[in-house]
Amino acid sequence: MDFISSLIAASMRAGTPLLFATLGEIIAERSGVLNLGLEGVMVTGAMTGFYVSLVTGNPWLGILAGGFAGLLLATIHAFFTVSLKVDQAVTGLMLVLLGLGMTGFLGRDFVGKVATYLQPVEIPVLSDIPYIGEAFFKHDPLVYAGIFLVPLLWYIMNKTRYGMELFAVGENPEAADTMGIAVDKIRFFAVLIGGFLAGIAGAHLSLAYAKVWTDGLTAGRGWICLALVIFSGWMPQRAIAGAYLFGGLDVLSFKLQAAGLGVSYQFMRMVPYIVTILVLLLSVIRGKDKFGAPSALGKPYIREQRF
Amino acid sequence: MIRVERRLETPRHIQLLIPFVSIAASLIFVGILLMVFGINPIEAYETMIRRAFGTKFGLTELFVKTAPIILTGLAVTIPLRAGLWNIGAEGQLYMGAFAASVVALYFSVPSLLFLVLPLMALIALFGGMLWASIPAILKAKFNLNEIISTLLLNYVAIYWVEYLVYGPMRGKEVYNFPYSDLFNDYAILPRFFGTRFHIGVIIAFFIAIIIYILLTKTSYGFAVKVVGANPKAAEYAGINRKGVIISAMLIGGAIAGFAGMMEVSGLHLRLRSAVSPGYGYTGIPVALLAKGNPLAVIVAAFLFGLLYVGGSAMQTTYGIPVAIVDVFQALVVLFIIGGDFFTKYRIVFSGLRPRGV
Amino acid sequence: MSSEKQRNCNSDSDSNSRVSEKETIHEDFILEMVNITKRFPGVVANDGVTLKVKRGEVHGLLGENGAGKTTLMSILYGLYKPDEGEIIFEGKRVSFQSPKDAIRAGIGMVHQHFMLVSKMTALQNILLGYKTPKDPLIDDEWARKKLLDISSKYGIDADLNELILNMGVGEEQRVEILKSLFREVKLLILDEPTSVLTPIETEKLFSALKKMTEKGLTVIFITHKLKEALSVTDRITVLRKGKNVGTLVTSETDEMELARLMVGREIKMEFGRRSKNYGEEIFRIENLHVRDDRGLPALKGITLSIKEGEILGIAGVSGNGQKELEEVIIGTRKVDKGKIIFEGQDITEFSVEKRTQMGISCIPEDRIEVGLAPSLSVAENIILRDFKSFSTRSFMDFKKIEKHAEKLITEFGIKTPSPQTPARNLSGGNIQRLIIARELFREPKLLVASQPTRGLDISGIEYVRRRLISSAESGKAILLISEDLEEIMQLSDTIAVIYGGKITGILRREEATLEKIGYLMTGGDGGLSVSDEQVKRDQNAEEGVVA
Repeated sequence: MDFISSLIAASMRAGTPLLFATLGEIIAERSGVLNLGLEGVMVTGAMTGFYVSLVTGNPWLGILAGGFAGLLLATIHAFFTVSLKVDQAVTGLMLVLLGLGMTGFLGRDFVGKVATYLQPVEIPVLSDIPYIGEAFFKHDPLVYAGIFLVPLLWYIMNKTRYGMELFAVGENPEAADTMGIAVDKIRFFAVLIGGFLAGIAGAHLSLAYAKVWTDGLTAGRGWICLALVIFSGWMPQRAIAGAYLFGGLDVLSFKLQAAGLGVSYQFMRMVPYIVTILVLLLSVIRGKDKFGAPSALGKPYIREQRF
Repeated sequence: MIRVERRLETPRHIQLLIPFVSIAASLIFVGILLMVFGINPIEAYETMIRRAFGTKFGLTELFVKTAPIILTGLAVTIPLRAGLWNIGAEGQLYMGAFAASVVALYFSVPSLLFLVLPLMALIALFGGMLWASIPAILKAKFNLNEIISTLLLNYVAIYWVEYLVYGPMRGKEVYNFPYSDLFNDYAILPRFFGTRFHIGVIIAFFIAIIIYILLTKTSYGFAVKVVGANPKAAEYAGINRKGVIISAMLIGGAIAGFAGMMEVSGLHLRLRSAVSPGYGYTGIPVALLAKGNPLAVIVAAFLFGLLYVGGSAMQTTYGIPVAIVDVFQALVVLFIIGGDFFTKYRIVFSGLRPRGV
Repeated sequence: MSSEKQRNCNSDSDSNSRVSEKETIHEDFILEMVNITKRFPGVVANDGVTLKVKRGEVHGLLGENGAGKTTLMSILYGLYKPDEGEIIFEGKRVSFQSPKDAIRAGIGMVHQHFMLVSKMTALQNILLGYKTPKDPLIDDEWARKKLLDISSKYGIDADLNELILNMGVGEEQRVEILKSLFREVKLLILDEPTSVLTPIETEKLFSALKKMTEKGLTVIFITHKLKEALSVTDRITVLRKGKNVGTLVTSETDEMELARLMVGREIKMEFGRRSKNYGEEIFRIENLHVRDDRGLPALKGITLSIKEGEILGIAGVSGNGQKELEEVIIGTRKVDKGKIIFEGQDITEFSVEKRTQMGISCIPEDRIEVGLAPSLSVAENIILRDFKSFSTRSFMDFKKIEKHAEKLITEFGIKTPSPQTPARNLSGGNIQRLIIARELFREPKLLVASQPTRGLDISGIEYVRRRLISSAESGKAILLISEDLEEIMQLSDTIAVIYGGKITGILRREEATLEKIGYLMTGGDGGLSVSDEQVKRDQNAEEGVVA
């Protein structure tokens, strides 16, 4: 029982970066822009957050800095794909290379150093419940923030005009344009928000979950998040399940190792990716959900004349 | 007032200029980065060029590093012409390396040892092809995004090889390094000039030429072109669209697999973790620079080969992590596609609009 | 339409008080577009066009395809900026940076290709971008109430809770109109609204327009159909090659005059067929069941037959299974049930390539999406369908290709700088010539021509129709799928009407009338022949039924 409650707790901790990044990408993709650079954005947030916390001693400044670093990188993506209307896939891929390269280059000095990390906050009363308290109510504030973000996003996307416009821009930007909606502005903004959230995701990774900085800390999580977006059908409420599930997978491999179950560490590292592929396959086989991917995803919108 | 106008046709001179301007701009950017770390960029670039062209060893190293990049460049180019992104060249390379290593280490029929190298090549082709077949079929049958699937499979392949060299295939006298045993002589590609210049380099060139002929002069190449230009029109033209995209991926995967064999049999002489420093990914900017032309892939591959040589030179001389090469690659591509914008649009500075009547 | 209609019943008293003496003469005109010029790369779409529209009228904007009508209205709606000229709306000079401004000023537009988000409901589409009282929250109730008022006022309604995805074209159009009515527009632009409607739906639209103008709304009606312009408008402006060649009062003009203005010369669109020698039956489909992309049944048991030398016209509004019919004959779509028989052989399972070799050709509805590889050269597109025959032992023979291309370019009059020019640089009419050249050169035994003259200018239309007729006269069987009833009537020997995936009737040309076809286009009685009395009886009964 102890094992299960600590597993749940660890899954939530591990899944929080995944959740933030997935939610951010859902917003971007809902507007029609694919950001394949998620891995690069996350790792940039991770390094920046770590560095700022290292230098200032304040982990929250680190988190914020991570978010803004992610936002900055996302601005490059938005500029190329929304303003210049170039290929979204290539831009995103290069962003990964850029992010990994830059952080590998700039971050080499503080690999292995110790920064000030986020501390868990115990929710009064609830955290004293046996087992359940351990599992759910002794997390750092970002975990709670992530959970809260889901219904918030759901509400904005489904019940407000902003959400409706976002949806329209990603489905049929031409129609949105004729209704007076500023397509490019919304897309640009959506990509920036996505970058900000992914940056925070990275910072959480280095400052709360892994509590360390190494080159390439994110280890492919960005790609998993891209698959999670598909798996969640571009709906925030479904993202949380996938995020915690994969967080759990991550944790499980470590726990199994620690419990001496003799499965090679390297072998286990393959598992999340294989699972992700299977999950992707499942989502696609599940058939043409009448909702599915935003119809205009990946295609730049060009009104015949600009300005 | 600044206005952006669509061009009527793409001007040739701008198209030709873009790759050069992009490279120049990237050099400047990276130069600035170096300066931030107290390194004189001119000196650094000089070191890089001297290392590559100044010594016999350096020059052969350039070729040795370029060869796999030519192959991965082709591995990306061929599916790209059919409209697919093969981001999985790295994984296909690893799988080819793995397959070849199995033959190298476990094939022991004494009278047939001369067959080992060709067999390794064949099985490496097959290994890469098989690895590429997964995303290819998933795309053809389920329209699963091939970018994400090829990418995820890369991680699987790399970790698979790591698992092998930390575990079942670890060598006996390697002091706990993640290496397999050294290959025997019959499993090593012949070398020349007393350096690491192995025969694979020449084979790579030939492969590029063969692919060039395949893509531009044959009816298969035409079919690929049509599928890449407009898949719906291809169907209506009677072309087997699914067959084309699968075969294009398979050919690309096979070539990347062969690159893997070259690396373990020509360079490392064993299977190890980090078979490739990212050649599979380098294939992407190479393919973009080459704009689909296999011969141009050779030229572009040389540029990046130079980068890798320079990168390792800078690491040994200045202690800069090789990651700087990745930054450069990313910048080059971004500048190229950003520059593409100028082939489609023109910036016009005009006065106020004249009022009518 | 009577010209003694009430005008200015809804004059805006505010703007009246601000109008200066100089602008009093403009009070009668709700809109003046003065000297508008708009250039695109290589073409002048609007050349010094002046358009004046009176308040409360239905003003027709008539011209053939490519004359500049849609461009002019897109400028008005804020989608484009004019290179020269100015716009005066309700007495004030305006300059719209985007549709947002046009909407705010009170101008609404129903585009030719609907601007609807298919995965959203009608209500959501209507509310898109609109700030309801509880903004940023969406006030459902308030909106529904307002729409109820509008529906009863103008007689236009739609199922607000239904997804656009599941709607028929007629209902979609009503949603589009509701979008504008909801925003209380003063001027409504309709771009070719009847091209997607059955004759009965068209009647309903016209009566709705009448109600709107009675309530003070002004309507601009873009069309290329003469008869329509004459039946619903008060005044007509004719555009030709980007210029305004005349504004007339509808009651004072006729078809001949308008046609002459539209084209600049006398047109004789009479393609009498001289010989009608039918041969054997060469093509038949039996009880064909086919699904569309969404997996829903698109063809529900179709049976047709064509003889050599015969033109079988399939009449019907788009979306009733025509696309799927085209695809299943060509071979790019699979059959659920039923058979396709060509020259006595069952070709149901045959590949596209095989069917092409056997002699089946196609001019597809979606010219550019399906029939062309735009980035490839003209020559490459010409050999697109039989490139294998231009290769020896897998190697392409480029010289042979070039020669062949040049031959076809000359024979079919394709205007292109060179055979190497990318096909996307060609004009719509020339792209169609390229496709026709490609398909006809092979002397096919069966030619499927789907919407072959859509979007072409008059000379393009003449060319295509003439070619189709001469093909039939030389013994080819032609399956003509067209929304244009006039075209069907002119060219076909036999007419089959398709509705909801079924053939609702087959008529010989001699016994076909517009009324009969129109009746069949809305479902008819499913029987295979229709009598005149039955048509009249059912027409009377059908008043008030939503199409």
